[in-house]
Amino acid sequence: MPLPPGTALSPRDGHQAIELPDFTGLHLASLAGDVSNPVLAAVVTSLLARAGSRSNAVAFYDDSPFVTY
Amino acid sequence: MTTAPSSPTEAGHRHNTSALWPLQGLDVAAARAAGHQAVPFQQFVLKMHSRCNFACTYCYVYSGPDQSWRRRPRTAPAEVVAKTATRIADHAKTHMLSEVHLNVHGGEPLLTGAAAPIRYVTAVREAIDAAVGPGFCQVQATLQTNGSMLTEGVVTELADAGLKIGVSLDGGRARHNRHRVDHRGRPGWPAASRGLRVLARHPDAYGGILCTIDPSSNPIDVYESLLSFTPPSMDLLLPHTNWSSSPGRKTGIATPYGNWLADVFDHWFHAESPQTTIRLFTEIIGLLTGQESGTESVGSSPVVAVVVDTDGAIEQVDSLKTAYSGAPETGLNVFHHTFNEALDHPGIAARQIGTAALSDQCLSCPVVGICGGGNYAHRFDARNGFRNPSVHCADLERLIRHIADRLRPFLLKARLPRD
Repeated sequence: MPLPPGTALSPRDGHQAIELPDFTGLHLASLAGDVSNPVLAAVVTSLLARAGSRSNAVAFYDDSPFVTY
Repeated sequence: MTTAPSSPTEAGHRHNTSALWPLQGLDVAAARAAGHQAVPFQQFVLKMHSRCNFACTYCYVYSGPDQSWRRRPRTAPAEVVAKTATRIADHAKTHMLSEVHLNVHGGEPLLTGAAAPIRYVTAVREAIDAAVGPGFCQVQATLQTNGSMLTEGVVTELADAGLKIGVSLDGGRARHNRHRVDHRGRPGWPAASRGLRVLARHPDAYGGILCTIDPSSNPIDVYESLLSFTPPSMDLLLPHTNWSSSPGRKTGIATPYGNWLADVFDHWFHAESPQTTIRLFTEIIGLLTGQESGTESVGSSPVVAVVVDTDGAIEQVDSLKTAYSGAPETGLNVFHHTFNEALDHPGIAARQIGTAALSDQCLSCPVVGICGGGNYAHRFDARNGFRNPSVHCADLERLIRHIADRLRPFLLKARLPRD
């Protein structure tokens, strides 16, 4: 069975107590021009465009086409 | 459409649903006082038709615990369209919205042809323009279909009216779509693939593809086969299951969906040039690099979607139908209530208060800043409601850590300065 609600997370359950790497605060505009990974560059470009077009982040319904800006 | 609960009774008929969080336990007034202000709706899911020409074997709308479709009008009548348009325009004016998204949905919204969805969208556009002035509020309209009714004529009509079309599939081959059948059990794939080929010739009308993951399929085969239809975007969706409708996973540490997605991620991420946009991956990369999410599946951004059914009922999103009968209901309708009133429904408010809606388990997890607890529908447990980790928790962590690992060398190599 999947992990039941109320169960404490532990490595045994497939959860790791390890923090994720901190990629926040990086200068994304520089990364957008990095062609060493064109997919990452394209993703960052689209994210920057979105961040620049909205004052507040909101989430849309999954069962609909990807909302782009 | 995604997996239905194995047993409707398991999923929700054995308990008093009003005792479930957030219907019980979320004090919306107190949340407002604590600083969680309502966020206006910006996405209106308009049910055009409540029936479908497909009878997918796993469909939660028709085979799940919520059978409310049986009592709805087949199509949205003119008075529902007109009143919905007025209510949306009022909402746009009240909040001075500069952008509204309309998503025409079903059932299968093209069962009545293209004219009816176009009339619906046009009615809303005209009402908004009348309310706030032409051009003030940008209206982006999409239509989500199974693809089987897409012809040159239909696609051209929708494109001319400014609607982009999204198609739901389980993959790009007949064998991937074996569960998508019509009411006589005949495969839906031949008609859907014909429709997709038509749509691929109209990039101006092409919104993208939604594909629910079947972990028994070959992930690269599914991805490559979908790519053959040249979608501008796609999303790979975790099935709508919850703690009370077992997804059939054997152990708590198995991550079949996470493994499947990780394989696709590597294939997509290491392409020589971008092949398409994949929403889930884009959003996780954004969250890892400090951006806010734009989707309900990850992150903690307030959800701004609301549904208007064919009878005018104001509802929460359809995925909640996998929880229990009536789970999406708000008790409101466009004839007697405003969308502002819906914002104070506990179910709506719960999805706009970020991490305050999450379980203690989630709040103690180092991944919570990225997954945000996962899709709300996947958190349901018939014993206590929606304040639980996602039933796909381990899969989400598997994928998020995988993506973080793949990003690391590029971000380190770039030696980027910090803002």
